[in-house]
Amino acid sequence: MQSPGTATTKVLATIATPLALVALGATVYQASYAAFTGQTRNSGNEWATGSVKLTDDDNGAARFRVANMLPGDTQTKCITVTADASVASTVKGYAINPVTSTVGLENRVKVTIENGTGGSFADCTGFVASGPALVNDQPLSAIAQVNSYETGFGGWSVAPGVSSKTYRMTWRFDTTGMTQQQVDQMQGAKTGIDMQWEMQSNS
Amino acid sequence: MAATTTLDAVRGWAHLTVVLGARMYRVFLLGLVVIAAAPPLFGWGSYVVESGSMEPSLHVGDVVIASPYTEDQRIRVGRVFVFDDPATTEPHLMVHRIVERRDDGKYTTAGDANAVTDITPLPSSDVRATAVLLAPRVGHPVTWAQSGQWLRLAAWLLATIGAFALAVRHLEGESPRRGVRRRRPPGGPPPGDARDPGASKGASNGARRGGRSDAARAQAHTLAHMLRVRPPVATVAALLLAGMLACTASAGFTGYTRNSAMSWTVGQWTQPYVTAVLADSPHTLWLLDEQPGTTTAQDRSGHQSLGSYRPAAVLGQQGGLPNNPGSSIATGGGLALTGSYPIATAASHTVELWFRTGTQAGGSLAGFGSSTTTGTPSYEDRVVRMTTTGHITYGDWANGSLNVVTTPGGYADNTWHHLVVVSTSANGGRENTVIYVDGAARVSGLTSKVEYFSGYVRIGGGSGTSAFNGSIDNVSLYDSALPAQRVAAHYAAR
Repeated sequence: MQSPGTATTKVLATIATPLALVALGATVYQASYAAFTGQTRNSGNEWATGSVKLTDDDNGAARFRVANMLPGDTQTKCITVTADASVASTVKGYAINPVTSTVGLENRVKVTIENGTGGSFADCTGFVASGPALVNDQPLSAIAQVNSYETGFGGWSVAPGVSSKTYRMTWRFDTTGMTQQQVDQMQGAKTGIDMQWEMQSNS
Repeated sequence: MAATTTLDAVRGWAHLTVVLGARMYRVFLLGLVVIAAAPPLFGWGSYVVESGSMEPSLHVGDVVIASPYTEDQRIRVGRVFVFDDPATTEPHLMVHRIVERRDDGKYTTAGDANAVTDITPLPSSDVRATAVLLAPRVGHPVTWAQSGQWLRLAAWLLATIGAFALAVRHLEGESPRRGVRRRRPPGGPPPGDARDPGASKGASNGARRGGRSDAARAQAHTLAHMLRVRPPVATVAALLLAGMLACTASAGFTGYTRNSAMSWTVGQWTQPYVTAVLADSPHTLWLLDEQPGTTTAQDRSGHQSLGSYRPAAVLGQQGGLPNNPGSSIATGGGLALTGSYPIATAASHTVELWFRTGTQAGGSLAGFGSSTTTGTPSYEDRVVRMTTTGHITYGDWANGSLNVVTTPGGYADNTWHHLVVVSTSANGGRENTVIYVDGAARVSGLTSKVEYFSGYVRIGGGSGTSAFNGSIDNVSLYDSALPAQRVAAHYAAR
């Protein structure tokens, strides 16, 4: 074996810089081309390790579907939301798709939402609330105003990994101060809402 | 000797490789930095990607070079854009792909690695820049600094400083370069630099200037060291400074779940008092809940047995039943309300109403008459009155000899009272009557003959004593005699 001769060293030293520049250009071009040319997103096929997933245990069933609701009626049920995140994220809840009635039924159905541990969609037994209620006896009409992640209630900080939280929801039909005429107008009225939980990574 | 030659050869190649590698790394890094840092000089933006939802297109630490977006540019679906996160009013830049143009003119965005698209639609006014170039990984020091990964940052800094120091090493055959090399100290090369030909040249220079003092040599040595070490450090410091000024954009992850179609539908129901009354099939039930200005009193019994408010009536007063919200009427000391249709006399009948008065004037609470106007009707019977002392009487109307029953207690105490008068036919056209007040029978007995005519209900005014001056609520009329327990049930449902 011989030491690199002066000529070899000279040649290599001369081409090293242009070579690096070419490599640089190729890298930038390739990365830019791959990332920024228009393309269709094929969602879910190749999730990055950092993907986040939020699921609940409702199996597509509505939490409340109340027919023939009468004054003073109330009901309490739970739903468990599971976050699977590999980056620190925050989960918030809010309302979407409010169904309003012409007679203002949404002002009469008042909802309380608490968060805690234990309980499930099937059975609330074992639920233990943590902290004060997130929503305390608010009419559906007010909850419908909370309709974006930013204004959402909760603010559940999710650490990387799988974690879940149970939300206990209670509604009551409050007819305080309603005359019989207003009652008559309300018969058959229907109101509704969807609850959505959204998780966003913290950065 | 052969072994030494081989060792020398390996050393020579290693030195060459390391120095050239360091030089290439330096060119590569500085090139990336220029690409990443130069755009702001001509109005473009550089954004360090700080999270991984755009993988595999963009990684954390990549620098996105983006040309500013103006409203007249076309937004092409499928391209990557830097935009103000529409999901928050906080300043928060996002770099995501636009995947859909919505019907409302906004756009749907998504991270390539997200299972779902971003929830809040993006208005074009929030778009800041179109991503054009990507400088891979060069923003890592910025993300490390921001996320507190000091160990990595320090390791990278050391490696880079080391590489930059190596890169300035002289190679055999290269012509002497400006700067450091020329100032090689005369006191000999630093350790590990023995094979540097520049060093031997320096040494020979030193031999030429052999007259210099040791102190001067040491000073020159130190200066040379500083100069040798400084360029890498200065370059890295400049890089770091550029990093501090870098703009970051989030490629945040999103997920959501929802519980849909919750609904509430109101069933058939009535107020408890109304339920109790309707259970006994009245032919008239006036709740008197109409608003002021209304002329017709609606019938809740289902028989369209309407009433007509008379000018004296004052509507919309506070209701009389605590658990059955609604309003009452004040009679205003005159005829307040009459039936719109005459009602034939029934063998058994019941009149039920709520009243309140604080005046001792007495007056006609309810009765039947052949007219609907103020003043005395031609025929009048079944009149319930309050005496001037607040007692309730029934039977006090002119049709043959009078048979009147009067409650022992008085009720002009300015509180609401439930009054039910139940009559069944007795011999000779007379009636057996029970007067209930507040759910309990207070007096019973034979009362005056009733007329056989179709009469209008008259509330608040009639012949004889002056009109009743007080409040009336929830008037119901039955063609039957309410049993005592039903009266009590009505009162209990108040």
